[in-house]
Amino acid sequence: MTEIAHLTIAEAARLIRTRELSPVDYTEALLARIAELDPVYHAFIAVTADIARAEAKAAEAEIGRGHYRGTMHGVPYALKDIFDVAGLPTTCHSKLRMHHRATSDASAVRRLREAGAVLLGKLALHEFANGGPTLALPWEAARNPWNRDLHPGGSSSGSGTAAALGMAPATLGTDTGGSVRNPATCCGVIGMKPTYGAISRAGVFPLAFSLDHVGPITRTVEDNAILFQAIAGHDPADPASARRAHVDCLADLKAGVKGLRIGVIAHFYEEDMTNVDAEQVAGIAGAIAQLEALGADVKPIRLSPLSRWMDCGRVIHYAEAYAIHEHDLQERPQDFAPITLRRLLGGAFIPASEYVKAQQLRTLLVEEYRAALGEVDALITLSSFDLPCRIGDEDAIARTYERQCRMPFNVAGGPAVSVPTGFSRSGIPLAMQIAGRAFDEATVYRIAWAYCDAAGWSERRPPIATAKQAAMA
Amino acid sequence: MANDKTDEAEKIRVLAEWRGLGRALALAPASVTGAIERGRRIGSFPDKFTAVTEPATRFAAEPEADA
Repeated sequence: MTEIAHLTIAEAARLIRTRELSPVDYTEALLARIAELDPVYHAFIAVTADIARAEAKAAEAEIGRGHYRGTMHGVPYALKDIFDVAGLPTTCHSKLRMHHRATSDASAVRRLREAGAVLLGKLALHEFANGGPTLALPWEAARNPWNRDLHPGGSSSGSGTAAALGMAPATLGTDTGGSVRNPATCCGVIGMKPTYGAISRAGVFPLAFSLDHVGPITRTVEDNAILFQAIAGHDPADPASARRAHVDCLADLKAGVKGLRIGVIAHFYEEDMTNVDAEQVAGIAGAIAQLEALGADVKPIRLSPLSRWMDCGRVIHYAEAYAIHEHDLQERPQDFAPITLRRLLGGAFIPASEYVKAQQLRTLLVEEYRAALGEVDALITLSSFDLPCRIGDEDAIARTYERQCRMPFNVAGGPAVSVPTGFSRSGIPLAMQIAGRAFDEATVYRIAWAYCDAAGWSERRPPIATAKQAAMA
Repeated sequence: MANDKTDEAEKIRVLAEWRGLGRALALAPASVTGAIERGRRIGSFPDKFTAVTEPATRFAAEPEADA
């Protein structure tokens, strides 16, 4: 069972296509693994076992009749519980949405259904993708797969945990200021925030319209590119969806980095932020050396100070999120977790003029980002400045929540992926980001694949805590 | 001094009520006060940054044609 659980999407797809692996057996193995591990790690809000069995059976029958739809056919996946699935609640991990029922599928879900994928369930998140890990909600908070006393990053917390533990080879999250890359960083997996407009957000509960992105979280870079390919593309149901030809991210995935120019934004973590974790810095230093050894031309790049990117993103994020939640904040504040209430109220008193100025500043920063990527093919920088703190320590969470450099790529809109760069002495994953030009996910994935293939960090698996061990802790 | 504190509390109450957040203030006064403080101290926009000289945000009258 464990071996099946740790199959990559690419491996499973090959076995399914050649009928060496039954989608029904694959799904049952993962449902059994979820039943074993989820009481300890709480990645899932709801396991859709009936749907999974029906979809797996349908996929198996169709493939048996000789109709193979493609790489995701018969492959199980799970969704952050912010994506609509017809007939199921979209709780957003909030008491306010406990009785919600979606009437149609989110566009990304529809594409996965059309690809023949198998829905395992809905995953935990930080309340409304914004709060932070808290134990004050109707469902448990997802735990870090490498140490269940620590938080797993967020807001797509369950997506990172489920992917790392082999509960699901493919998960989807959303990213407004780093919410795909943060759990990927903390859980030691691959999390891609693609270009703004590359994947439809239709049917996904919003946090901040002009910063929201849907993104895949997987255990390997190749799997991430496969999942991205399956759901990317124009969708008229999302006003921000880009109308441009879909680029193949798999064709040159393994072409290597020889001759590619990579800019390192070192000032984000060497000058613009203090007390950055030394092991995180050592991790990215090792990755830079590895990329140079692989033949990349690596050089420093300077952008505006991190605080400018963060402030710009924060004003837009808070103002747009407040607009979405204003009514409930006025009428039902007691139904939010305190940590969510505090964060959402942050937008209540931002003057309209500041929001307008932030959007104007964003235009300048986008131009700056584009100019920087005229000199190089991709950028790298850190992801988190700290290791994850204890899950119940709300002071530490508040102190570290915004100590990150993921938001610049939400502001700029370009693709950025978090990849592991090693492990701390305490056994917790370290990570960096690789970012690229708008709609050039292919180059970002290519660099990520080359580095991860050489470094081999994705091979390491989390130690599994049993329910008995968790109860004794 | 006591009057200053009373005045500040009254200002916060008026601002919260104005935004329809009276219930939130009663439930989580520190969060509402923190939000007001945050609104007063918006971040580090560049020096000389004005809404007159910088580019307008994007608007497309026909989004389908220009998305």
